[in-house]
Amino acid sequence: MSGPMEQFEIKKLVPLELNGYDIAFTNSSLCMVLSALSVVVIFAFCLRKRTLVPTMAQTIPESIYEFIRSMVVDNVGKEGMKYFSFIFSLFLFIAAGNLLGLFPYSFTFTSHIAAVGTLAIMGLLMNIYVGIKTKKWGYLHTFLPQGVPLLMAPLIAPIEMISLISKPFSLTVRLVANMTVGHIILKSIAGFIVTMGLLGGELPLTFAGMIIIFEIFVGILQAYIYTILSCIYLSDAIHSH
Amino acid sequence: MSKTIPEDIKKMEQRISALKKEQKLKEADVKGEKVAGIFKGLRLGLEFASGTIVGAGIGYILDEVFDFQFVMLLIFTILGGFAGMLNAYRYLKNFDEDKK
Repeated sequence: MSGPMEQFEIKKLVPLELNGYDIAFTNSSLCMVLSALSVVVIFAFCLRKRTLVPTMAQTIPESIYEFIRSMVVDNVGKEGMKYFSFIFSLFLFIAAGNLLGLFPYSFTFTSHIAAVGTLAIMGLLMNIYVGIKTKKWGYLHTFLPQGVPLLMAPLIAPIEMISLISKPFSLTVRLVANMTVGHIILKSIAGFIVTMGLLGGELPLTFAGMIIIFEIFVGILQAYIYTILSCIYLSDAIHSH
Repeated sequence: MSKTIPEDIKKMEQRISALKKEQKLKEADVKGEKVAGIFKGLRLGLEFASGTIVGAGIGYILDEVFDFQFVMLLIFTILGGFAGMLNAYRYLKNFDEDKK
């Protein structure tokens, strides 16, 4: 029987190479494409009849939209609506990835630092770009807050810089650790079902079922936390401290 | 003589049930705060740890690139710890402001 860590193995589906770099299409990439596609398909299906009075299916995307919109307006303010599309796609992509990973034989790309970390670094780069665009040279005050004596600069500037870089790191670790731990527990308990067989195997089966429900909750909650923290970091970039 | 419940006893029953409801709500609040506290603590710990780890990582890379032995690792781990504390402090400050 396969171990609990084998589900995180990356397998090459279509080997590709570019200038000596391995850019193969892996099962992780497949799941990313599938999660993006599933969001588009579900939204297109729910919004096929766009009526003023929403139908049952139409309320689902509309309530998600309203939820993220209020999150952006509450945390970043009205000027944050410019970046709404980024935040909205971020939430849907991660939530879809978390939920898709719960299906048997699928792969949870959100359990890999490479995938989530890249997303977080993209968010950081965007924050820096937005900060420089709105505050011009004033953005440098991020590294030396106003009122700090110049003598302290050699100490404060590196600390602020590390503090800025550690933000995407903590975002990544939070999501990756949650997803990895959940799937390891799920796999370990699912292993007991087979080894205990018909005599007593029902107990881990019930337990695994409960954990799957809990994992659905955790998947959505983690996507929410990731998104709301991205909003807060964006608001830090736009508004001064 | 018909057995009717006197007015004041009826009122007392209403008061008891209202007070019981209030107490239940308060207990739920305390429970909710406890759960929120756990999440807050986890978040604080993660902020602190991630600052230290990122600092150590930067120090390690600087050592590797510029061949400083272990000096940069030492300095940047400490600075990273400070950065982690700063992040944790900022998070708590935001949290308190939200509460107000």
